[in-house]
Amino acid sequence: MATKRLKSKVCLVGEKAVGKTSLVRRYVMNMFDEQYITTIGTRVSKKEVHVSMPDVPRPVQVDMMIWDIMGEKGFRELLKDAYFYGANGILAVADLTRRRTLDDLDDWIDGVEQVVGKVPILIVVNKTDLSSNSQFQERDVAQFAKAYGSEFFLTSAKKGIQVEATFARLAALVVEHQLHET
Amino acid sequence: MEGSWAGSRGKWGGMAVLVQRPSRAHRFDAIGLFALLAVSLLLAFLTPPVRGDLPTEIENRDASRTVTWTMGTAAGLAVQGVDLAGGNASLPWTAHNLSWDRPGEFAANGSLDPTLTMGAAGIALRADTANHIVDGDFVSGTPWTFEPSAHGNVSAAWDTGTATAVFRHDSPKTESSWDHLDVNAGVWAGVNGVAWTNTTKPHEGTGMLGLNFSLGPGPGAWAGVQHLAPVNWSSDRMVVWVLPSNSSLPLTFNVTAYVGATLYGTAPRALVAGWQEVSVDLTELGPVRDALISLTLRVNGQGIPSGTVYVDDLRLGNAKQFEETARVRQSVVKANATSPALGSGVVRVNWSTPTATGIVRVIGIVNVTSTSGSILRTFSAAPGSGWRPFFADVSATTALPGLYEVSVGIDVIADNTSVSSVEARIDDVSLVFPNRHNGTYLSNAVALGTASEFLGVTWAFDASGPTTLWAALRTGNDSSPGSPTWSAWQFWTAAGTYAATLPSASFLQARVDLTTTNASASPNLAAMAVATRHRSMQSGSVASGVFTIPAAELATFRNWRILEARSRTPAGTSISFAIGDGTYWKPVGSDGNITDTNSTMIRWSATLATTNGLVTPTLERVDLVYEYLGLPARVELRWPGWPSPIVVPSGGVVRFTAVALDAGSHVISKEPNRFDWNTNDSHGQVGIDGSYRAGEAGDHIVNVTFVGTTLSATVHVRVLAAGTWIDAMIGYAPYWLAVLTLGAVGYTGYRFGIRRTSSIDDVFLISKDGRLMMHNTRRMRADRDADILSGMLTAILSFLKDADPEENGELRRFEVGGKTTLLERGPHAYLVAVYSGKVPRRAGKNLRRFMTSLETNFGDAFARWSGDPEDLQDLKAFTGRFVSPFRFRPPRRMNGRAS
Repeated sequence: MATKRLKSKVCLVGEKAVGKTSLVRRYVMNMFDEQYITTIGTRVSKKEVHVSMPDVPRPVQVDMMIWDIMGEKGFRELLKDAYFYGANGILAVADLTRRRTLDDLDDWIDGVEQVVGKVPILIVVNKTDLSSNSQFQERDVAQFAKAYGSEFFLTSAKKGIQVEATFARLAALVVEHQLHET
Repeated sequence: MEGSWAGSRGKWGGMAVLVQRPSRAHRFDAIGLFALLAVSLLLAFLTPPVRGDLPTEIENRDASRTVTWTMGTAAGLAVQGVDLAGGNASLPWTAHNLSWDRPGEFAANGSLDPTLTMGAAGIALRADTANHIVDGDFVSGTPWTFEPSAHGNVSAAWDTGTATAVFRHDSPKTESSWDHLDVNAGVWAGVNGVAWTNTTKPHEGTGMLGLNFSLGPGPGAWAGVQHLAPVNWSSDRMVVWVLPSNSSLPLTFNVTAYVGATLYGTAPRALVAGWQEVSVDLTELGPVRDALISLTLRVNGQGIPSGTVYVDDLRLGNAKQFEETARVRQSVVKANATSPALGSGVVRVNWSTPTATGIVRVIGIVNVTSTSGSILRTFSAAPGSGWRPFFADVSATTALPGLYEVSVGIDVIADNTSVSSVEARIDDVSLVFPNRHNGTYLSNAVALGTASEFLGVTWAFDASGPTTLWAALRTGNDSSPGSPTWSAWQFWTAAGTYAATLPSASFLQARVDLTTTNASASPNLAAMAVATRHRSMQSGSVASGVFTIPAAELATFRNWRILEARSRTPAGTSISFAIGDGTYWKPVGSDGNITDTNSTMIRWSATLATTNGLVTPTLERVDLVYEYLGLPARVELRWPGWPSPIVVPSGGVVRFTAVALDAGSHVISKEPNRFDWNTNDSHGQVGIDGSYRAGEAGDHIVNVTFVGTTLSATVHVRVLAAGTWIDAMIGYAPYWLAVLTLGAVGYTGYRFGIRRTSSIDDVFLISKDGRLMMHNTRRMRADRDADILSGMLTAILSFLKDADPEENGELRRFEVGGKTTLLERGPHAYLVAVYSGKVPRRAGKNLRRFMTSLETNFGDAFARWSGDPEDLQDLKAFTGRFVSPFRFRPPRRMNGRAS
């Protein structure tokens, strides 16, 4: 059976040093130096993901373009129209050891939604390997995710925990959203 | 029931009355308000009040209102399969009765010990009903042995006509008349009385001897008739008829005589009313009776002032005296041992004595004999032709297996001188060893379908006399009785209905122990019924009527926010919610989020369900919260880099954005012209669009006020002198790094492409969001991913454009190494062409023409592109024309070719 192909754009957002780049590094083979992020505020990576949808007769291969957005608020305000434009999904990343990074996701998500409207969102709390220093609990994440009607994942880019599952789930949500949108 | 009503907020007669709305935006003038109140009061008196459980509405502090339904009554609610009680909606109790009133139902749900049996009446101890007597009904007469009595006075025979065993005795009389007592004068004389002859109604002959007497009050008084002459009574028996008058009793009768000088007397016999034949044993008068003197027939008594007794027909003879038994017998082989307990071995005989005259007595005899002992039972009854049963328990001597001799006989006792005749019969002889043993019925773990409460139990059984019955129940929560989830047994020893105190559970097991101390008797278990109840396993629902946003609030209504419920859902229970507007239902997620609902009409439903019959979810209230656009509550300021402090060189520009929000953070206005901008920077200025141009160095403030209100926001700005600008540039380091990096990339590309001749190496068609729509290349490069390149290129171009928004120019060309890249933008995408070598002068024009042609032919497809390359499958061939070495000439419009 021929595979259906789909190109998607997803944005990783969140405060500085929450582990966005590490998540991407863990997930994809990088082709651009990370310096690009500190240079122009983003870096684009690509990952091919295969998704099976119950209501789609063919398997779907998603060329998921992952825009790793610099966690500087100034950049967000400056470039959000450009970088978030056309995004098909959002991976909003917080740091388990810094409560503020979870609270600040509000602004990041709002920033994206102001540009692209409602798209699938996954809340990701990274650095679960440092749970002894956690500043919030899973129920806080659940409450936060509930506000956006989204799912959440607890990951550790350092140990590779839940990283693959997170992107796979985002890919599935994005594909479903894209196909139903059209 | 389903209805519709406007938002009630303390509804009164259908008119909405504000009960609690502290920050209501609407303003009424005094007259209008007065009129509204007057109409409301009038309607309040004319119409009955609405019940309190209709929804109420309260104002929240964040530009939202909460509409609340409670479960006090069913008013305004559609209730199905749900109880409303105590202010809660819950699943109702359902009664379930487990009833076994037929033995088969016990058997179908459990097992019986082999010692138990099922009958129409119930379950009882099993009995061995086999008859060990062969031909007990004397149909064939074999293998019976018929034995007459030892001296032949009683016979035993098989009567083929009646199929019975018959025993007989017949003998003639041995007596003869000695004195008819018809004429007595000169023969008999009265002693202590007057003797006379009475010819009226003698018992025999023409007359009888009468005696009138009077007996004194003391003991030993007697009267009699005395034979005047000596008599020779060598016979041993005298028989005479005696008739005492009724007034003479009580009396006794005896005979006295002198033998020589010695007076002898026979034992007195009590007389009864009416004629009676008195037999007197003459041997009591001594062994020699050939010269009896003063033979006297006496009556003895006391305190009888006047009495009369008659005697008649005096006879003498020798008595026929014997006691002989005739019997039938057969041998029985008993194969198995049985209990010696009572009832373990029983002989039964039916017998009758149609004739039994002239004898003393007839008795029946049952005898069972073995080497271990014998047992004999006798039976007797008055003569009669009817059949009578006789049972004899022979358990004690028949417990062991072996050879037994069973006999049934008739014993005849005679001591008479008259004619004797006896006929006795036996039939239906049986010997059974019922040998009932104790037994137990044990049911399986009977599934009740769900966990249930036990309300009562009814036992129907009979356990009387030597029998007992113990009934027991226990409960558990798995199908393995005796596991830790099972309770202890609860026992009942008497039939009846009882309240059950068994622990609630989903399985039940019954046990019944039947016992007896008599192997022939059994208790009987007839029925069992257990009353249980559990929460309905059918889901129930509560649904509201349609709630409509009041007309006065429609203008500010935004959307519904959340469905919140006050409820309890113990483990195994659930409540699921749905909302709709009267035409549809859609489920509400567990978070209650209904922000995607903006209908002004709404209703909700709650579905209650449980998988545990002991618990129910309960729903106490449901709140629906909706948001509205309230009055301005605050103003917020934003700027690039917010919330970082603002540091700007003198003459620099900061673009501020102001937003007016209500209490719920709903944006009321972002339009710059609705704000007044001010700054205390005397050399600076703020434009009406929020652009602040820094003036002199120092700390200043920029203030904005929402027009028509006192709501304002202020931000501090640090303006640096021109000499300190380099410091501020540090904050923009990323921008410059980007430019430097871009330059490095371009230079490297230039150095690489300079060696190439002029040709189009690659054409990229990239969507505005950075996704590669099409790539046409002359050569593939394994180390470069066109998708990533497109994304990064888009990011760089965006960065360059947005880094300085005040410049309208866009990058159209850059060179990297020996290659030149030209860019051309369209409404939906942009085109990137990479040239090797010298770029033709017409290249830019060609690129624009190609871009125009692409938008003409594929613009619609670009606009709705989902990301699926198949949507643009005609594009490849189209771009191939551009990559070719010839000058591009746009084709005619390819209507419909782009998908």
